[in-house]
Amino acid sequence: MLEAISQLSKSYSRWPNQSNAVKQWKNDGKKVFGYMCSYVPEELLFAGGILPIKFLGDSIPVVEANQYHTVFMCYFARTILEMGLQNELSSLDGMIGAYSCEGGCDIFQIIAETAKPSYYQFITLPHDNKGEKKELAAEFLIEEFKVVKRSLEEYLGREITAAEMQKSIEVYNENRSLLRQVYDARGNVERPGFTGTEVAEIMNWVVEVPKDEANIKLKSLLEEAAKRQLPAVTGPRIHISGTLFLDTEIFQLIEELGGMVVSDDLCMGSRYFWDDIKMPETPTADNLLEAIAMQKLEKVPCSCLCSEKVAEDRLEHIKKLIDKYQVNAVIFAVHKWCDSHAMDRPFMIKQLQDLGLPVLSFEVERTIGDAQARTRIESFLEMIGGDSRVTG
Amino acid sequence: MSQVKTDKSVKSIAATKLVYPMVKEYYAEANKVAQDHSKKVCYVTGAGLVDLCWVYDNVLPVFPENFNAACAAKQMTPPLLEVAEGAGYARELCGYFRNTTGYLLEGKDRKDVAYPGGGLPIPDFMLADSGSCYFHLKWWRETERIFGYKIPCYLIDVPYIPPRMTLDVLEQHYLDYTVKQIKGALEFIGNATGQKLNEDKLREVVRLSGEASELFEEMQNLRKAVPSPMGSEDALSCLMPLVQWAGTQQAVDFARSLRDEVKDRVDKGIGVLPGEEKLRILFDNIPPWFTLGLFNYLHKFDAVSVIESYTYFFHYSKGKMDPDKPYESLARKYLYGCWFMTSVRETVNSLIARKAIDYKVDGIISYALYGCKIATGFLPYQAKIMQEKYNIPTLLLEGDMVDPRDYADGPVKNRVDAFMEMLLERKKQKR
Repeated sequence: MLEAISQLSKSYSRWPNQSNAVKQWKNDGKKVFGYMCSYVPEELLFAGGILPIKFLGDSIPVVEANQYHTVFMCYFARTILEMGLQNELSSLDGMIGAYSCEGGCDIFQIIAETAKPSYYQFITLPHDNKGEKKELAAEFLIEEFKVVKRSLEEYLGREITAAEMQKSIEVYNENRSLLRQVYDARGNVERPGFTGTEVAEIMNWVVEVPKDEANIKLKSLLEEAAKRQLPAVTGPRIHISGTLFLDTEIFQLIEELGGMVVSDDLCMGSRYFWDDIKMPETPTADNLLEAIAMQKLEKVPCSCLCSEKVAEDRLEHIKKLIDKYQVNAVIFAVHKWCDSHAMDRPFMIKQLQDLGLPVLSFEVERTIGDAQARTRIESFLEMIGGDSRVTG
Repeated sequence: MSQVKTDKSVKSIAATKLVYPMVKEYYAEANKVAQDHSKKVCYVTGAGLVDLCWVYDNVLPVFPENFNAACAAKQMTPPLLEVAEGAGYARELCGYFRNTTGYLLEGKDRKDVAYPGGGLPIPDFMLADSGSCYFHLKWWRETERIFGYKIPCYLIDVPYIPPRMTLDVLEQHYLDYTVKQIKGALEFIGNATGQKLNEDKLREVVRLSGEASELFEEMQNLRKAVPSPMGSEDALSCLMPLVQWAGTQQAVDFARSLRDEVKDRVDKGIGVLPGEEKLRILFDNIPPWFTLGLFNYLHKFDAVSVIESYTYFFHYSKGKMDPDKPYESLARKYLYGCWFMTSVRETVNSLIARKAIDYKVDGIISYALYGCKIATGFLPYQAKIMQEKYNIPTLLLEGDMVDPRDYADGPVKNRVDAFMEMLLERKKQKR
């Protein structure tokens, strides 16, 4: 692994109380908020001088959380509740969530109600937001974001200005552009700049640190990647579909078995940064907020949404990535109990198979690399290894 | 078709016994109109929306959920669930979704099976709302796909009420968003049926929907009486006419006859049990439709399930619906629907706890549905609050509403036995 990427883990932790980025930000007298779900308007928090960090969870045993929430819920979210109950979220001044998936709705509220941060907000996301419903959905979401903005201003005791919002959006858009370059570097067929595991490490880090600092670091990582002499991938080039993982085990496992993850549509992957916020020509606080809301409605959708043909829209995104990064096969690794993804999965698998792509699907709980998953991935890679290997 | 043997319920209310024949007759009509095209068949789901269909006189709304519950009560869901699972849908998904999908993919073509009411007809159009969960909308989208996108569909995205609000004070954009979509849905039905919206008829539907809601609410309030005049084994079955015919005189008539019967029982002191009523239970969440006999089983301990959260989900229980404000009235009805579509805080403290106190219950049985994340996730947290803050114990059972395959009758009854004995002991000590 690139030394500079190994070093990234020193600047953050999945456990907010132990994160250097959190400590540093708070040492400057500023607030840190934890958030769940990429439909939360991070840019607004950052504009108000708040460091938004995404809840990442960890591969830990869940014990106490089972007294508060049923086990019929993705392991990821249950580990965040476990952290909270162990008083490991106490460094967070605020928490903000969005009703995107059904499971996340209940558990986020229990996390916040038991951790008792000094600020707590929950956004209702319009779920049917395409076509003739787009305008109505936008009106509603803009109002939700206005409520959040007002409550943040009340909490901070000051206005969040248009200039601050514009600056924040610029920083976040630059971050998106740099992450796309990172993906392009990884997906380069002749001479990849990063491995799949390295990019997974970058993605974990980038949601836990201030984006302006992240941008400086990403630029230097891209420069290093350009100079690198990594060998071309000789095994299957994999696209991975799902939400997020509690560690980088699946990426490592695929590489260990001779393949590489060269593309994804994870919510901690391409769906996090693929679409920019369109900056208004004459920015005002209102139209900037509107721009943030529109990006949420127009970006590559999460399966939790219920607009017409959400799965088709996700497939379009996947197909573009498959072409761009010359993918040989797709692995669906979806958390057990994730209804939204489980609903879209049969259709999406069929469509991808109809394109001639081999597809493996398995469910994820606490860990990936148990013997069963290893055997399945190994057999899958062996099965597709022959003709579809890219020799670059 | 294989059958799973679980307990069917025994009813004690005369009105309840009318329900299944009404359902059968209704489905027979639905199948007839689907054949002769004399009316448009519409699938509806969620916390309501059926009212909107009754505004048009050539629409016949059908609830697949009700069909699923009827299949479960007839203990015939497993083969349909297996079809859905065979098509790749995960077993932990909502049982309602899996049953309907199994029926649409294969079950409907089985001529040797006597489905309730002759089966679920294919719709001319579909309506759904998220008043009871967003999964309903996801389900309808999948159904659209199964029908090859040939059947028009309109969804009302009824927003979840977050913790910053209470049910008494809603932010205006929540109402506006719902109202605009109700108007959109009415326009959609108009286009699908070729009929113009009749505003007078809309007001009439709202009046009737409100009247049925008020009668039902009155009946629910009568159930606070000791001894309980009607248990869950009856009440859950009585819900269907209110859900299916909200906005019609038929729902009003049924709700009135039910109210009258329950009132008569209260006036005469007739309880569910022949002897002393020792324990009163609140049943929380969607019930296991395949074994409603579980409620009769409680009688063994001189216990009655006196009230349910579920029977509060489908009527407007916050006052009067105003025919002069038809859109806002309907919006409020849909927004106030299922309790779990309101913040956890409000659901537990203002709804569950309020009913537990008002109905003087000794314990709560919460049914945690593995396929229903929004209605179930917080139940252990709710149980903790109910115990620690209100001193009311909860028994948490797990299963699905229509899938009996993971339901183990013996162990469930063992747990019920232990819970009842504990409640009886607590009660003795209180005395």
